[in-house]
Amino acid sequence: MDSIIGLRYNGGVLLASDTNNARSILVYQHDIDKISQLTPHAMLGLSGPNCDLVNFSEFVEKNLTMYRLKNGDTLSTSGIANYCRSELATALRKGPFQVNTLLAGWDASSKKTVNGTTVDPTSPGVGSLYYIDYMGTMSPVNYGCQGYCSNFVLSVLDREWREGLTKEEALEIISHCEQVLKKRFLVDQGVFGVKKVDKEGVGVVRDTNGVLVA
Amino acid sequence: MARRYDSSTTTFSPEGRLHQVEYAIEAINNAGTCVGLKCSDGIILASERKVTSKLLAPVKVSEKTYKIDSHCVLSVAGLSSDASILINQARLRAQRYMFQYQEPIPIEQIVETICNYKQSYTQYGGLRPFGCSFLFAGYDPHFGMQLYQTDPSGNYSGWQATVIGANNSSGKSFLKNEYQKDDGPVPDISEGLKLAVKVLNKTMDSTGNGAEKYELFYMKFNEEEEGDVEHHVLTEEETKKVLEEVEKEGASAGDS
Repeated sequence: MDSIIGLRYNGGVLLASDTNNARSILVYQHDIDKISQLTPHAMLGLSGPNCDLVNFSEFVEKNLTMYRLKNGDTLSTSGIANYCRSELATALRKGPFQVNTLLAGWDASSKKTVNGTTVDPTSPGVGSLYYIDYMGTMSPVNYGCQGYCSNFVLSVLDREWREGLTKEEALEIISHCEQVLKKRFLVDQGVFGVKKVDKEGVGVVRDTNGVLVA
Repeated sequence: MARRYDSSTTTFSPEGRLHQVEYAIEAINNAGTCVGLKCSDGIILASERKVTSKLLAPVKVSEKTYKIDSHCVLSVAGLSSDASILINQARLRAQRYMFQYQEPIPIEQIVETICNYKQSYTQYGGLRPFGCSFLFAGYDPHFGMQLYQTDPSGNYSGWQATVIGANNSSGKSFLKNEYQKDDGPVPDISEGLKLAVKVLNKTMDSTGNGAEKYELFYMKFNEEEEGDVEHHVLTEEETKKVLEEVEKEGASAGDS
């Protein structure tokens, strides 16, 4: 019953997720964080059983940390996406991770340096969003969602998303998605937490209690 | 006394040296010379072809320069048979990285993999170290064009311009003076090719060699696609042209 929503805006990406920790008919918690930070400039929103969420996101995060220590630089967002996809695809035939994810990341430029010189340091850079499911399907998208909520909010995102949105406009679209879920979805999704990733890195926009963070 | 420690690659001598490894490095100092140069618009690898017999079938394109991936090449000094094992490893590493991350491997990671493999042969018993050094040239978006040198001990280092193989020290001291002369600009590829030929002329035994003795390679930025590079091994005609230009410069330098 998890809801993960993500969309790109000019210079970054927003990810929103519900904060319920539920199993069967019982809700255990109303304030868990389903968006985990993988690197300073990448985050992963996950839906699925809580054990797999924690297990998979920590597995990826620790491996990316190891990559950075070994090679001195973090992987690009597309590298992270392909890494997640290949791990999910490999696990599929031997007790899969039951997670469907949205990966959001930010890169300074697709080409960081040319012949040792940095490319345009003033550029807002590129935010990118990837849809990756537990079977190893991966696709770069402008907006996306995971879970039952996709039945309701994809149409909202399709109507309202456009290239070059500001962060405020993107946040407005997310609240429209929440309103639709509140009105039409049988299962109460409660409060949504929102995070962003941009030039400054991953940050909380709205915490798991629904309080806006300045 | 030292002889007692000669036969084992993995035993330190009382002076704290590994003789077999040092001999392997020494063997490369007698092998065909390779020159590497970073240029403003690309990178050059130039090597000396040892022509052993007139009867030997000439190589089709290159005998010392090997493509590892679309963004990485290396040239070999030393035993080619030992090198081909390592080249296979390098190609495998590059494609495995591509398989996992769907993007080209950073150059230093290939170099590190190969050097770790070389190092293992200096530590585990019953094995002979690889009798070859490499010059790696490649491009990645993290650090741009890069040039690395490796040796049989598993050490590697990055360079602006360097020489490996026979007479490498005289080649290096020549480069020290000529590369970025008087703090001038980094040469472009056409200038760099001439410089590389001059270095090889210094390091080769005989003078006035034919074009078949030189293997000239460059990698440069693809003008149509940003971040993409193209590879080129100079044909005999193109090599001849470079040699002629070098000769002309040498002649006019004598006049002044």
